[in-house]
Amino acid sequence: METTYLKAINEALFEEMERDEKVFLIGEDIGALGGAFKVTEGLFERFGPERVIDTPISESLIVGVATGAAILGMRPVAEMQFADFISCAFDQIVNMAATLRYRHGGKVKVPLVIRAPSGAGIHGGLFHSQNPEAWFFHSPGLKIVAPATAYDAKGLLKSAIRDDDPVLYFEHKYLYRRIKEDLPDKEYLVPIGKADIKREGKDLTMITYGATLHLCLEAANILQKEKIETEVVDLRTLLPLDRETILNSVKKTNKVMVVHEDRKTGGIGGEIAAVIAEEAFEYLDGPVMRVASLDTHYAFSPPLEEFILPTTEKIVARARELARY
Amino acid sequence: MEKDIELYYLMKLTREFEEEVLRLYKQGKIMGGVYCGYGQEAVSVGVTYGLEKEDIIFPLHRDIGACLTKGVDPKILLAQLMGKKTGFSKGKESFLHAGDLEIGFFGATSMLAATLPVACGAALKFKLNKEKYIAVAFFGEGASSRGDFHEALNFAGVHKLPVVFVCENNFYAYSTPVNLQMAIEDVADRAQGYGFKGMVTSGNDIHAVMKTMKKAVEMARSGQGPTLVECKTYRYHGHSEHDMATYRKKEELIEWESRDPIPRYEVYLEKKGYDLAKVKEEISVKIKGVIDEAVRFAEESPYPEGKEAMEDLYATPI
Amino acid sequence: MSVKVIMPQLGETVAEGTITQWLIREGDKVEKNQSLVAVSTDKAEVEIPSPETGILAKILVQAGKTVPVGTELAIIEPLSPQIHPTGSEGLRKPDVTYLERLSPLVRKLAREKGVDLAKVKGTGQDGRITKEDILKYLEAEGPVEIETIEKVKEEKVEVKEAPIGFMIPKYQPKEGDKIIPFTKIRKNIAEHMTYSKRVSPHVTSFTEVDIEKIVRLHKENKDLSYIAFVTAAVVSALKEFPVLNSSVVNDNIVIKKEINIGIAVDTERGLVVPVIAGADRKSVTDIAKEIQTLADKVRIGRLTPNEISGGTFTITNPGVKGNLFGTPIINQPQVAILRMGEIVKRPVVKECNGEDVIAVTHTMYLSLSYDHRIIDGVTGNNFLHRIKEELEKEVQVT
Repeated sequence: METTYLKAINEALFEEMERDEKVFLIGEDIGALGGAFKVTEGLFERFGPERVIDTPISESLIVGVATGAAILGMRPVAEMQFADFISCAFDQIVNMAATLRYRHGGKVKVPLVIRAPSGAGIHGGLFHSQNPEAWFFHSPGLKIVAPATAYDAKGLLKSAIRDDDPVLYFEHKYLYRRIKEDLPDKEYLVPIGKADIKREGKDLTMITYGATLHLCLEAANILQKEKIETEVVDLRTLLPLDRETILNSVKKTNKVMVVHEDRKTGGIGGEIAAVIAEEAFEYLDGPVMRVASLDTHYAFSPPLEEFILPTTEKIVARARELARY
Repeated sequence: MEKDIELYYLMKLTREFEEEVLRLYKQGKIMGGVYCGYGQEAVSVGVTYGLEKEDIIFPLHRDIGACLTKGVDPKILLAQLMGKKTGFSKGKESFLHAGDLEIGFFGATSMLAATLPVACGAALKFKLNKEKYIAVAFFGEGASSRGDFHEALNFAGVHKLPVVFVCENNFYAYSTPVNLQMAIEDVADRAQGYGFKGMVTSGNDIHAVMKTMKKAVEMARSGQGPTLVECKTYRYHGHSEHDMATYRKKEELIEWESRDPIPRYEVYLEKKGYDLAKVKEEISVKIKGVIDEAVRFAEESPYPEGKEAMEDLYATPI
Repeated sequence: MSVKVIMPQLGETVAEGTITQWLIREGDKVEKNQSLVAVSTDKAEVEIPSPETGILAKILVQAGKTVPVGTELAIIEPLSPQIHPTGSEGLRKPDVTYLERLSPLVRKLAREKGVDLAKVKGTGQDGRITKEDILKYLEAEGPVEIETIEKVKEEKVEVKEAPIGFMIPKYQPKEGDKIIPFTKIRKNIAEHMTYSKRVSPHVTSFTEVDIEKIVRLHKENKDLSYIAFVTAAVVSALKEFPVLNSSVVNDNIVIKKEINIGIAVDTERGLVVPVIAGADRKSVTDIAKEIQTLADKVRIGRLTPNEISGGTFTITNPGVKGNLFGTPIINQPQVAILRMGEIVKRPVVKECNGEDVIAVTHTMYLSLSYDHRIIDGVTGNNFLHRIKEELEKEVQVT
């Protein structure tokens, strides 16, 4: 069955809520409305107001309540209506949820999932386009995932719900209805912590996640005509990074570039480049390069947005430079 | 132990325990910041006394008394304060930033009022599972200025959650007096804005506290929703033990010292017909035994090893 | 080593100078004697030539400044292989040589495979040697295992690897073949033998020795082994022909003072050569005893490093079967080696009472391989003949 990225998330929620009555949803407009993007459509009708809870506009509360329920054994899936609003819940995420287990010497667990539609390209402006993963990236105690395909979206969400730690699940809103694929009928999970090689190649490696995966694959097709074989590594999980897959690819192609929609400075591409430089220095036949959004805000007007965001052309140009080096 | 005596014991234990903590702090055996609830024992003990084991309290830094009343072992509590491996946090956090869910108390962070939404979460769980348990969240009047306070009370009111919000109003948030914190007199007035009752009580009179709590707990357990209980009280020491509290007037301190909850309770015991001297003697001996044991245990407990700093981050490490 | 550029004294009374203009930019390459900076004094305007070819690494005094004579103005880094960092945006495109654009991967491959990067053609940006370039080079030229050459000998010998135009494909083991990996000893021997043949042009001379007298002496005293007698004979000959007791060191013949005879012994593990040190000071009996002791030690694997080093000449006796004579390989860094053949009764022609008669006598062939860089045929033959004479004369055993 051809399933969109959005529907895949919806299906994962349905299936997990059927499977485990401890799973419940909490967020703004997720119940009667079915979510601002319709991701939670149908769940309220099926499971009722006790398992799909509409809250006031209170991001901090949403995460706090979910945390409180989680430590007592429930498995909440909280939603930030736009990932941009996750900043309102920052304290509850990094200082409360992420530290609970640690502070209690391991005697408490927080099986919490926070879903957040992130990403640009929809003319959203500054506050409907953000990619906030970098703010949470260096918070120990958290896990962060960012699926790029419908298959991964479903499998990763199920894994996140079954995981006993707080997981930030960044779903890229640009991909909601734009990508679809045939999903297996049988149940499957995508493990947290494992990257996926979406395309094999021997000349250069692109490490990416989220919406830019599709740009990288397009770029790889173009480069193939120029006899440059690109290996595309989809991280899928951002925290913890799958260092093994990353380093193996570097050792294979010896040229690597990191591509993400998040801004360049302070984006996790910097950390990946540092890991590669520290642990695979002698395998590099060229500098580690990055393609990312420019260091500015996600402007609204189309020509501005286009200027800021990574595009297939920008990725191809950079890859050519790297291949030529 | 009889209830009358038990209340006295708990208040005295709280005070003696905290004095021991101060002693150890001045000896350098307890590091970091030490926050004393000296003078507020009636609130901590009175609010918590009589709660069920499965009820969960969310104390703040001045609520050692609440923890002791809930059933925390003083040995483990002291080990926690000393950063030893045998504390709740195994040394990873100090003070009341960790708890023990088995006993029903939950540790806070330093971000005041951040526990309030979490308390709502616990209350939500009880409600969804149709359990008769409740959450009791402590906070100072200072914390009621934070956004989390508003979001939590708002949500609790909407969903009639089984939670009691206990405000210990000691008139100062560190050095900031109430009139610079809010434009109203009683924090309890805010409850109305959230659709539930706010009750003011005399925080230095343990019986008044317990009477008010009884009503609030009833409401919560019977599904009638939250209550905001405001206990007017006073801290005799500074905000923390390195605060000389020069921002307060001496007269104010003297006035409140005359309302010290423990001597006040001793008057009650006498009036009730107890042999006060005997009670004091017995309780004193008992408490000394408990505290000595706690000190011995905590001092003999090992520190955690350095590498344990990397443990307990994840339930399922990858 | 960085080279400093200093403010010169432009005239006897001049105490200071002013930088008018830097003619080369910091980071740019400059040739020796190329004009580096224009300097003026109240007497003259002068362009200072660069003291070295390299990169103008750092300008220490900016244009417009006046400084005393002798002040350091700049630092030149002579050219040497190092990596240049690329800019943060895009790639740097200076006109630098390939050696400055070596990536970590290329350096690693060069190091591991012993590649002289000067020989590799760079096809990357600005002539950079890329991964593909060095891999292509390795396929064509073949790697040189640096580590093994260093292990083989104390003195360095410049061995020029001739490019192999003709390649024999390696044998691919088939099912049923038995694969025995080299032990350390085997590897050492294999490399040593190959090296020795490569370095020393071997010539082998042979002689036939009437060993009858020695045989009789040996029968009388079994402790006196044949090899002990041969050793004593060799020692005498070496005293007369010391060039066979030498080494070639660079373009020198180093004739050694000591005469230390190595006796090659075959063991299960391989060839071992214990050494009789100062053999010239020892009698046959001593030598025989020492050989026996060493042989015992070899058998139980108890030789010390001292006992197998310092040899100046080697004698080998590879047994009594199929050993008529042979062409032994010199034990480097020596220049000659003597091989004993099997002792066998042969008919020989002898003069008896002025008449030629055929007699049966014990004979042995001796084979001498020598290094024709320094030992010519006449010398080698004479030396060999001397040994024969020693063995054939009436010996008094001491």
